[in-house]
Amino acid sequence: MEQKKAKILYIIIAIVIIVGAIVTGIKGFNIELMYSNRQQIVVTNNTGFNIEEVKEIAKSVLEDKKAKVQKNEWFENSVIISSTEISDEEKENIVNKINEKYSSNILNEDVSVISIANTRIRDILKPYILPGIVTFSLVLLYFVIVYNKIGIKKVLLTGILTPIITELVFFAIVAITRIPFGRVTSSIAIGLYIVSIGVVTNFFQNEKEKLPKAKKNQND
Amino acid sequence: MKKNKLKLITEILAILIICLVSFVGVYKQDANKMVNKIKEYELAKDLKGYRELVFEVSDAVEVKDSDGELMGNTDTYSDSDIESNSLTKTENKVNSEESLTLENYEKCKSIIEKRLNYLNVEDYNLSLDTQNGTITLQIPEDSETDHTVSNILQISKFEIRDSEDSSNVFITNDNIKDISSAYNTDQNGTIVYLQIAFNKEGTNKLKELSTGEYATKPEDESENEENTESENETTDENAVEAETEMQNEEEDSNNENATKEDKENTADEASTENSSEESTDENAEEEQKKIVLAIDTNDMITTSFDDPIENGIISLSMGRATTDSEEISDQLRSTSTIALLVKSGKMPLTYKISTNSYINTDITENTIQKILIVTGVIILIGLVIYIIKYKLKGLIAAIAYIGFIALYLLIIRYTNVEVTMESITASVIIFIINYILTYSLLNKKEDKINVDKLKSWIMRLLPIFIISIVFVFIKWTKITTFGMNMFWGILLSIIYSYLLTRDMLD
Repeated sequence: MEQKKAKILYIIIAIVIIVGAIVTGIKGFNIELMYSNRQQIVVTNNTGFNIEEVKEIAKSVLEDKKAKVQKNEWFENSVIISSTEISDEEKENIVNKINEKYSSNILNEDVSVISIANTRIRDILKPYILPGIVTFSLVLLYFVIVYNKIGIKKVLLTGILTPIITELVFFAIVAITRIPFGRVTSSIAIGLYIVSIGVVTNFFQNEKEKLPKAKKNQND
Repeated sequence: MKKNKLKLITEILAILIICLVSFVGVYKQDANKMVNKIKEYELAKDLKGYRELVFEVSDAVEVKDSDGELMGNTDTYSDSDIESNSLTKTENKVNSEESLTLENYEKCKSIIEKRLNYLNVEDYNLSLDTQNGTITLQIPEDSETDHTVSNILQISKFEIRDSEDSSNVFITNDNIKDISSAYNTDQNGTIVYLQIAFNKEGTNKLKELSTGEYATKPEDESENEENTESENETTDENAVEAETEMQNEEEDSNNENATKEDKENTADEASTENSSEESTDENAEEEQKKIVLAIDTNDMITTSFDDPIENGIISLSMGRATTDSEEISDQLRSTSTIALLVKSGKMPLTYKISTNSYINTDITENTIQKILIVTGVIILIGLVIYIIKYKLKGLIAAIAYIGFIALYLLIIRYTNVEVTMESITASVIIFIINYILTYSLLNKKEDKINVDKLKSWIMRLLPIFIISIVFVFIKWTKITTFGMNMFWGILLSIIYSYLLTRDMLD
């Protein structure tokens, strides 16, 4: 029965990874705006802005496009509105609506659209690769030294596959569900790596602690 | 029994105090307001804000002085500056059309990345527009940000060239093996040096230069006199007080990492300190080639060699000997910056900063509050499970658990760990680990938790503890903060559970 459950679980994991790979191949990840190709405008007035109100304005003009509004500089009289694309018409609409809301006199010509290129995924992941390889190798070495009595093949297979499959499943879910890939996902990925290592260690330790008992039972 | 009760009450009171200090704070009157004396959390770039810089490929033209000497470009000199300083704009673009290639854009990005690493910027986001070479950089805002911004785009063209013919370049960046800052202290004070080690080709060229093999013709008497006066003349315009001192160092092929002692020796052997007197030696002077050592448009020194330099290492003193620690620190900083800029390579293109602004994070206080509330509710549910399942012992365990969180958060603040998304994730993992440890104490079958149990905990946590230690030493804020949070969390979790939680539950 347990074996059957495990089989079903493996099949589900395999399907998720395959579907995730297909989605990534076709559509790529849904990259967080901070790391993707974007355009931004800086709007400044003398009286300051309420960030939530500007967010509403940006949302109403940019509609379904990804957008974010951030305070610019130390003072609160400047905001940056970023989106995947801001057309001249959209820019003008935003400026007009802000003028209307704050009774300001910001000129459309004074607001320019700046294009920012995307950060490559490999650049986002680069800082994590070396620490990942070093720690993974160290942990595998630790597993082999401490838990070799369980069986080196089992230790290596479980030790290598569990963290890798965990990460693959996570990124597949990110790709399938179109959760933005960025700051939060990278922090969860690093957390899952630790958790998977913790779970594997716990499993090995339990197996190891069972070993003398099993031997004892055999002797009896 | 009574003794045990008293002990438990004392422990609970201690936890209560820790909770008050950690969650509420310690307030003292400062002027007219109450100020929390407990250290604030230090937020990192993602949770606070960052400096965003947009670098565009410059379309400026070169600016020269009346002698035809290159002074800079129209990005650095405004029209009024050019007019008031009697400078002239040339037709030459700082970036030729042929140089505007993807390869050069990528090279510039790679050099900027190297510089960020050398300048110890441990959290950045760098992107390149492959169409026009525009580079966008986001870096944390701190006391070093302006220093980073002012240096990151330097071309860092290193040259040793003929003092009379600037087109006659002997040594360039390609001939440098290593460049670093060093210092030597004697009775007069501390002198900071820029130490340059050349590669094989550079060493040979330097040897030829210093032995006069590069000299084309002996200079006439009158020129000699003029040159003698200008010997060791500092022509640096970049505030580097380079008191010219080229030293023929000890023949030590391994002195890239020269010790302080090595440098003392080299300082003693400084051969050209009195070169203005020595240079009156006619025979030697005739053979000597005057060279200029320049970085970008700044001629750092003009000098000649008294003795052949055979080991390919020169040390340039970057100022006078001083005992003023602030001055030494400034000199070391500027020398290190020059060294790291040259070391990172010559930028194939000239860039200009088109946008330089501080941007607040898009993760608002509201979002953080929501995350805290969700985490708090989950923890609360977990603690209610303790109480329902284990009644009084469950309640004691819940109190101990809250005390752990309070103490952990205090440690995080006082160990200066920045709060990042990664460190928040690490904290969540630590809360889970401590929850499991507390649960295993509640669930214990034996009367007492023995050493074997403690050993078992340690064995179960050792691999992730090893990972945490490695992460602490990685120069990337997000990874370091994750490692720091895990390190302190695991350590505290084991000690706290074994000493306090276990004691309270016994």
